[in-house]
Amino acid sequence: MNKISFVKLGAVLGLALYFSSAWSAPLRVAATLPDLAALTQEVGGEAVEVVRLTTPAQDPHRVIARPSLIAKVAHADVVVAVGMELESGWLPVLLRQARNDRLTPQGGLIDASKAPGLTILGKPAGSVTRDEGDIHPDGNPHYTLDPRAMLPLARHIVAQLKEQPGADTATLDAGLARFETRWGAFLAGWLKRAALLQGARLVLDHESWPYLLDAVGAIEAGVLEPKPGIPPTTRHLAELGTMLSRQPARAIVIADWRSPDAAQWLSDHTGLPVVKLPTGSGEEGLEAHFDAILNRLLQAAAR
Amino acid sequence: MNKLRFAPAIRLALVCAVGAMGTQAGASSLQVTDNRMNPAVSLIVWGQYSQASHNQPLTLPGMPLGGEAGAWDRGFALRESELSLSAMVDPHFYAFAALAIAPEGGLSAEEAYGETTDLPGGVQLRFGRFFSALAYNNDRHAHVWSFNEPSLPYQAFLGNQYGDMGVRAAWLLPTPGYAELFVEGFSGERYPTAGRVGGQGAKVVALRLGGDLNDETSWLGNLGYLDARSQDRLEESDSQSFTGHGHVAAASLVLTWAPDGNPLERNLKVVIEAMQRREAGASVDAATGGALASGTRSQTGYAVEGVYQWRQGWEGGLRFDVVGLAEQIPTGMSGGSTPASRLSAMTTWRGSEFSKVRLEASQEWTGRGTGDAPNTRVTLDYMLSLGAHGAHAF
Repeated sequence: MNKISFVKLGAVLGLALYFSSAWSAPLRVAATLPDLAALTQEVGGEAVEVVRLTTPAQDPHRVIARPSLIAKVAHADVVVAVGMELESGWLPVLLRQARNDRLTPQGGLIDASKAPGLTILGKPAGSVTRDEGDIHPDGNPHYTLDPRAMLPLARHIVAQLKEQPGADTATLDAGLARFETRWGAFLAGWLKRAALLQGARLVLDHESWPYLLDAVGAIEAGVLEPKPGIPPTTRHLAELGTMLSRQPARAIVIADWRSPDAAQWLSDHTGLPVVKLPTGSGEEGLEAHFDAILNRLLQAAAR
Repeated sequence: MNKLRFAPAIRLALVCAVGAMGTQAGASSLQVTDNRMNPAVSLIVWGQYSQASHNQPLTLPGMPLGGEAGAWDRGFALRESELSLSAMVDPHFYAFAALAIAPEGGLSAEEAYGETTDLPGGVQLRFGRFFSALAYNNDRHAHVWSFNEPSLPYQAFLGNQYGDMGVRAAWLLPTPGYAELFVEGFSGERYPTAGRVGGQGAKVVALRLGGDLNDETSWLGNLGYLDARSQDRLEESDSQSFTGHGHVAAASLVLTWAPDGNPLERNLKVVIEAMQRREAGASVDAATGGALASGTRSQTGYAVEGVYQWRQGWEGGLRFDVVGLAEQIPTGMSGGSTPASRLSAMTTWRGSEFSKVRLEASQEWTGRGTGDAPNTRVTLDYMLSLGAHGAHAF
């Protein structure tokens, strides 16, 4: 009997030690989108250890809930998500399977769309039905494609990270201050160059781009998908072509991971150039990512 | 004295448990979840039209293929409509219920279970009626299977899909990759068990592992062992009954591939499953109770399926399934004498994530046809999903 009680005490102590071992180490962050991962890494520096759950080559709506992602979510202290139902096809199931009790909305689950000062576009007025396609009832969740969103997002993420047990608040504060200065300067230059696109009419593959259009002052001339999430049909493309012959546009913008077939068809019929843009930041960092987007748009618009 | 010695350990355990509960607060309000409408409700509407060269129901000697398996007559048929509800109950429990509405009327609880959400160390308890983690396709609902009917090993050894009333403890191992261990106990009412032997006629142990080979390719492996006890299990159109003890061992391997890890346009999924059943016991004549045979019988089956999506909304697949390999049947006991096999080809169109229409053709060498003639079957079915966004596991 005595032996058993010592074994039990040992097991309980061992478990207690095991679960407290995360303290004082960098916060382990899993970010759903590569942009959120890049941003968290840039502001968090030494205070965080970031893994991303998707790559820039993936459509964030359709992600396979792979076993490796369960393990990543299970080991995270913090998950940073876009929210607004962008990840609703895969993140809830990962969270359930990972059953990580640190990841509560009050704890380690950070909904980036709740960032104060973040502008949300495309919130449908009135009620929505799926007859209108894959509509996000809370608005358009693709706000990470607006470089102006990075400041409110960085502030929100840092504020939330500081709430986590064991967070290195001094490093986080310093990282945020550095980022604010640097990003402010970058953004001013970026917006100045983007002024050339003011009023440019662009055709989009999906409603991923309204935030980018808003940032550069461009106008949406039409969408290849007849309804959000529904693949383009020839009839819809033909109608779009007819409309574009009356009201010309400058270019067709598509995500670089999307099949170019529909865009190419429209391009063949209208002569508009097809611009492939990344929807997420890779290893190059956020500044290079937004510069690449702007350069490709300017190049196409100049033709 | 012993009580006193225990006290500090118990107190520490309590402190740890309360501490763990404290970190878990409130039902989810984050809007990445689909339970803002609490609970999440979804309804699957599933129906079909089918034609076959023979209209006999599928029969495999020794296998209880009545009930749901092979019951689809030629012509129009309504498959089960499934209404499911799920929600966080409170900070400690999650509950899920899938109610199957039979076409002829009547509601049955396909699954209805509660699950703990805040036990520390990756441990989770599930209780109620649920599908076992024995094999990959077993704990997925019929409407997410790639083919119209479950594969022959499932039909033969598990009565389509094994689920019963019971409890499960699942432990997510703290390994760098995904590894989960399941231990389940069931009352033992549903095939391959019968008679609720001792109120705990079935026990399952399963191990699930998974990972990525690279950014494009992922895998999942599942090894399961079902220990099943039967008391007076009816066989051979209820003419015989079997009493005994046996097991079903199952191995599943799942591979998925998508270019650049992006499944939107193109992706491939391959599922290989193998099962072995071994039972020792005695068969008696169900009417007279006279002994027919006793001994050990052993049968094996497997299914290989591949589904390829070649463009957004379109996929095609092939499946080969067989049972009755490596048979060992005592004289007088029921069991197939020749392997039963089937080859199926299907193509599916998805209008969106919420609708699909599937055309499937299969050739069956299963005894569903008359004599030795293979049966050819063509089925067109539709599946519409209303309500909550169905986030599907791997």
